[in-house]
Amino acid sequence: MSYIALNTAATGLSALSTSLDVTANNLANANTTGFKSSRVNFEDLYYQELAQPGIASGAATQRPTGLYVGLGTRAAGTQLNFAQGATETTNQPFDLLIEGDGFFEVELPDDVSDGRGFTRAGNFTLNAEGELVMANSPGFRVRADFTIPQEATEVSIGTDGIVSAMIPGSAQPTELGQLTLLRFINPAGLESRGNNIYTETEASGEPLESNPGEEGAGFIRQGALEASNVDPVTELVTLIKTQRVFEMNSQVIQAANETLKNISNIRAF
Amino acid sequence: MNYGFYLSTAGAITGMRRLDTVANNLANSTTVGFKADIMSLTARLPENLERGGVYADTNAALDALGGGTLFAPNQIDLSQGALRQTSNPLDVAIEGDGFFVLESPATRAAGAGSADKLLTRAGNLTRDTQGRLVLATSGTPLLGADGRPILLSDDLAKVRIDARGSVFQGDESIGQLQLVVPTDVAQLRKEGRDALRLVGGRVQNAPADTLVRQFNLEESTVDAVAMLAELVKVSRGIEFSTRLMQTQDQMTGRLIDTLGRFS
Repeated sequence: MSYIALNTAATGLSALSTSLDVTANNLANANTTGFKSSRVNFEDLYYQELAQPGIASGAATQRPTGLYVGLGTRAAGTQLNFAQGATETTNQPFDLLIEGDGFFEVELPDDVSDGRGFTRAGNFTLNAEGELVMANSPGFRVRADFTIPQEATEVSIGTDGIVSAMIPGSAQPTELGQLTLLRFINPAGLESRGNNIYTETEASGEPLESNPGEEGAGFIRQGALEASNVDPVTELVTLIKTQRVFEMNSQVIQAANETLKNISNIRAF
Repeated sequence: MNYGFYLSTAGAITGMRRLDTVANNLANSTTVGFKADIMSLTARLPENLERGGVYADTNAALDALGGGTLFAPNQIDLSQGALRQTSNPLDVAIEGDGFFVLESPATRAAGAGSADKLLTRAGNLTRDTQGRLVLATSGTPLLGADGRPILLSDDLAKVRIDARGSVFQGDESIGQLQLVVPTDVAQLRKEGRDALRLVGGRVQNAPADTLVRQFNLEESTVDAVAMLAELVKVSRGIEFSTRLMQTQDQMTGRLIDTLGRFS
């Protein structure tokens, strides 16, 4: 019945509106440091069998295949895209860019994912204790084995993550510690927590720690930030496609509605 | 009742089924690896002829009229979808004839020799909790050439999938995606969740010119223009059929009214 068409088109509309939401979020974050775009994966729903293959369709003929009507589509899930974003040079000492795969680890409250968060947004700053913290609103601490003394000047962070600074009374730079990076076998399986933070899931695999530049973990660049990897052109194309397909699905609803109206008008009084 | 009334009814019923198929195709115009359904109709013979002329006392004029319309089995439009480039290393698209093989309860029990095959053209893959290469949508594992799911190792080397479907991590080969073509595509039937079931058919290895493209996805083959044209055609067709049913109903009504009146 045309009720199927009505419901099918409705599944299309609902999946497409999810896609619209995701595109909206991507575009809204086109300027967010370290942001990674997401996409929606669609899958077709089940098929209703109207006639089995092999049944007779006449005395001499048999259906070689059956008659099936599909019941629509579903937004099965969203998937993150971890392609490298563009580099923005800022020359700020605590702006760090990861060139390659890898994440910084930040300390979350203990009840959230065992307190382990991961980010690629390297816009860091120092707090009153001289610890490296994220510069966005919650200001989570970056997990590191060092603090930066107040009197330190000319803090430099090497591509290998080694942090050194000039301490008064010493002519040579003093090595303070080393930042490490973490990698995941399937970063697309990480969970987005907002505030530029991702947490580990079973699909992402466990984080593996390595020094920057080793085992493919990527280098650290001081004085630069990773821009959002949202590609506005791709997003706008997705937006256009989503909107047009949305319109087409609404056309189906109208057609099914007209059909049902015609049918209910067959019997004239 | 008037014979034509039933012919018009057949037209309206088949029209509604076609509308359902158009709705499903359009709902899946953004589903990766989706293949459009083609629904066709066949002319039906009058029942007497369909049964081989068993009734001796039928009206020859009726036999010449035809018996309305009937659904023909649906077919799947297996044409190549457009490839769209992505930046995810676990996105693969098939260029040419061929399907990936999905794990199903039957293949799990019988291994590679299982007669029951679940095939797919969707290549938006991901890694599941056990490290297997699975469809990102339904989470069903893809089978390797040995009939077992492909396991990604935990050492974080980059995944590379070559044009023949061999999967490498770093320099190490970790498996080969099974790529098959059914000997008879007419035996494929839609299973939903991106899968096609091969009902009792046989498969052979995909031809050598079938390529696997990493960092690509195959778009749905639904042709929006054709579908909207079909939508117009089908909804008008239903309108004509229902209008004819109305006319025939009115004729019958008038017949009763006029002949049944006592003067």
